[in-house]
Amino acid sequence: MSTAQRIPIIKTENLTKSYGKARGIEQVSFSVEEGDVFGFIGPNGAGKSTTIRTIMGLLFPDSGQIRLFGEDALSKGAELRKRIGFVPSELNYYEKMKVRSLLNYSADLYGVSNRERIGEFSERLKLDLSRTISDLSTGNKKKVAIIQALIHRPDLLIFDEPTSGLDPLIQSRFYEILRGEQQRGCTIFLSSHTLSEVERLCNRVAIIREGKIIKISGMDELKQLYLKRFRLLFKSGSYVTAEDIEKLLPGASHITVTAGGAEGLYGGDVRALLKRLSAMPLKDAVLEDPGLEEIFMYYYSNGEEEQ
Amino acid sequence: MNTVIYRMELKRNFKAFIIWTASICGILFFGMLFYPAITADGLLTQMDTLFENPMMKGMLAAFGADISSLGSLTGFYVTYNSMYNVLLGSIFASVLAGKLFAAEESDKTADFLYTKPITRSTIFISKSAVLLTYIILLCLMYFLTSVLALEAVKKDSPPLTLISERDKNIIIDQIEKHPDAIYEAFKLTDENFPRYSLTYASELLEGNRGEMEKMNLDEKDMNSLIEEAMAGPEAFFEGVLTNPEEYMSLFSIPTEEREEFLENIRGEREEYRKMKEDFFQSPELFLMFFQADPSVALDQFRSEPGSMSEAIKLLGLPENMEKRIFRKFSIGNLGVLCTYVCLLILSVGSLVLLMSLLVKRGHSVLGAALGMVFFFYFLNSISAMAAALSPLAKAVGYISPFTWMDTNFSAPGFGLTWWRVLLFLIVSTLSLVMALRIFKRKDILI
Repeated sequence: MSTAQRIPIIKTENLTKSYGKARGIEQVSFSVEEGDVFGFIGPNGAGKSTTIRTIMGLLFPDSGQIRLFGEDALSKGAELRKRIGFVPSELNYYEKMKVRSLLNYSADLYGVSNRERIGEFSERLKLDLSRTISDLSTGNKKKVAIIQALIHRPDLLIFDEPTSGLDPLIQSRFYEILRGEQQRGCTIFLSSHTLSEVERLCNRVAIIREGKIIKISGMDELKQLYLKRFRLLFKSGSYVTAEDIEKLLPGASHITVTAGGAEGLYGGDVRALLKRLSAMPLKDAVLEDPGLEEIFMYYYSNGEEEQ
Repeated sequence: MNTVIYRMELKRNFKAFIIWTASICGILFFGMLFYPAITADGLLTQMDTLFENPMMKGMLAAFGADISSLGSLTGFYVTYNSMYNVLLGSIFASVLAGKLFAAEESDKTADFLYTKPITRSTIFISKSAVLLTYIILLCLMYFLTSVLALEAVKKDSPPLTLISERDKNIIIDQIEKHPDAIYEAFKLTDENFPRYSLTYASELLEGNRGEMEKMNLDEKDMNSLIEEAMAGPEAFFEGVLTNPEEYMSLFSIPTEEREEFLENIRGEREEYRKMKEDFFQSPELFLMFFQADPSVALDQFRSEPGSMSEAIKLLGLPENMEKRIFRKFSIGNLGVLCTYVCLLILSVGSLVLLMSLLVKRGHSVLGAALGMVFFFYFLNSISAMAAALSPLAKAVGYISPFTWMDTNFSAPGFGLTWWRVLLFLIVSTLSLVMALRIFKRKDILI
């Protein structure tokens, strides 16, 4: 079956929502196909949550359309949400309730009488069901959120910033569960503000910035956006200017000279970078993932230069 | 309606419901226990003299007390109940309605509940049903506590003439069957005839209060006039005829119409004498008086149990008629009163629910809601106090739902009035429909 004939799981068309002084979103259009692990990335405040909350029926769009499983989400939202599991970015549950009764409540709301999955996932995630919601740490609340989204074996999982605030151990458990659900045939839509997470999980991405979709692509294309931020400290006496560094390190840009050192962004082969760096009179060197905003800056200023 | 949400919301609000209900019913019950002590010590009569001062009377009236009925069991109950418990009930409904939806937003649990496969309308109906359930349960408990409390203290209270419409018709039927027995049965003599005729006349006057106001008559003067006439009509007519100037000035009749006035009075006296003659010849007139106000004929049997047995025998009435008429209080009337209380609390709750949905992010409307409740409460009290002075004040009072209740529940013919019930239902329904419309399209912001 070709992709063109398949009905997209999520399809938004010119979705626009503005509220108060917040920016909101403008003309957001994208579609998520069956089996996709779709990443929705953008810096904080770009409109990721607004888009997701509009899809989930928490916000109502000013204009535009949302279709879920091929049906109109505005008129049939409740019916369609039977097939969706949702984890919001901020996790708040009824404080006085026990974890077990909250999860049972969630199962009842989905009309699921089988409680097996609650036990199964709570064991896998090591979540104590007898605790009270108000006593839970952020990490444990995340576990509750993940389980309540999976109880009813959804066909679509929507996560808003799923791994923020999770420690690495549970993060990997979470990725494991996600892979399991994906193998079961579940389509996954997740938002994130870290590129590396999206890179690890997703096959397609949409990038949103200041309320507008600026790029939708496969993962290979995204790799071109792959950047490293470097910070160098030189041995005393060796004086290097920004121009020198640009000559020494092809692919480096946005270079600023600091006291006794320099920093900037590097796009290209990491091995070539390391080779070049080893030839330099270095006292210390740091390589790290830049923030998304920095990547966009790089991406856009390069584009502008080309014009 | 979604029973999962309904049951969960019932459970989540159960504690608040129990605490409020226990407080309200506790205050109601223990408050009523003061009644025997207050009547026994003659404190109520003392209070009556204390509140002779119109200033004091006004002040207490502003808090919803009905001074004139404070002495009777039901008067004490109504005064007591309207003073605290209806207000408390309204506050409970405000607290519950004010957070039913708002707390989901302010605590951000809406992200959990509103993303489940349940439509906004269903969520609204399920949650509103919880409000309705608890208001009805509260009023049911309120009713039961009232019955218990009144039963507990009723032995110290004088009985009231509480005749039902049905019993009234039974008596009228029997009078029509035994027309000659009435004079003996109701001890109708020359001396107490004026009481019947003038009570009837004053009732007519009461009905034409508007006319009286137009004529610019002083109510106090009118009352003393009626009292004077009731004491001895023949003497009264004689007094007016020998000294007409005093009475003419009372009705603002110019002196040149003196002859005409005297002629009128002579005519009235003639009519009175004819009426009296008719009264003792055929039961028609008595039936008319009885129809208008049966208590005039019945009150004479009230204070002494068994005193009506003669009348029961003569008219062929059911044996237990005396017990049916003279009771300490009527459970039926209490039920009607509690229905009014329920409708009032429902209206307040619905209004607060609407208010809570007009606000973004579920910010608390509790302050504004309580402000509204107190505003309505005092508007009712103040307008009741000022109603005697100006009809405008009385009209303004009808803004407050507290005014829509009929608390005059020892009065003959007390029952649910259609327009009062309709007012409450319109306000409640309108508020809920508007609230639903807002809720269906409400943005849940982060």
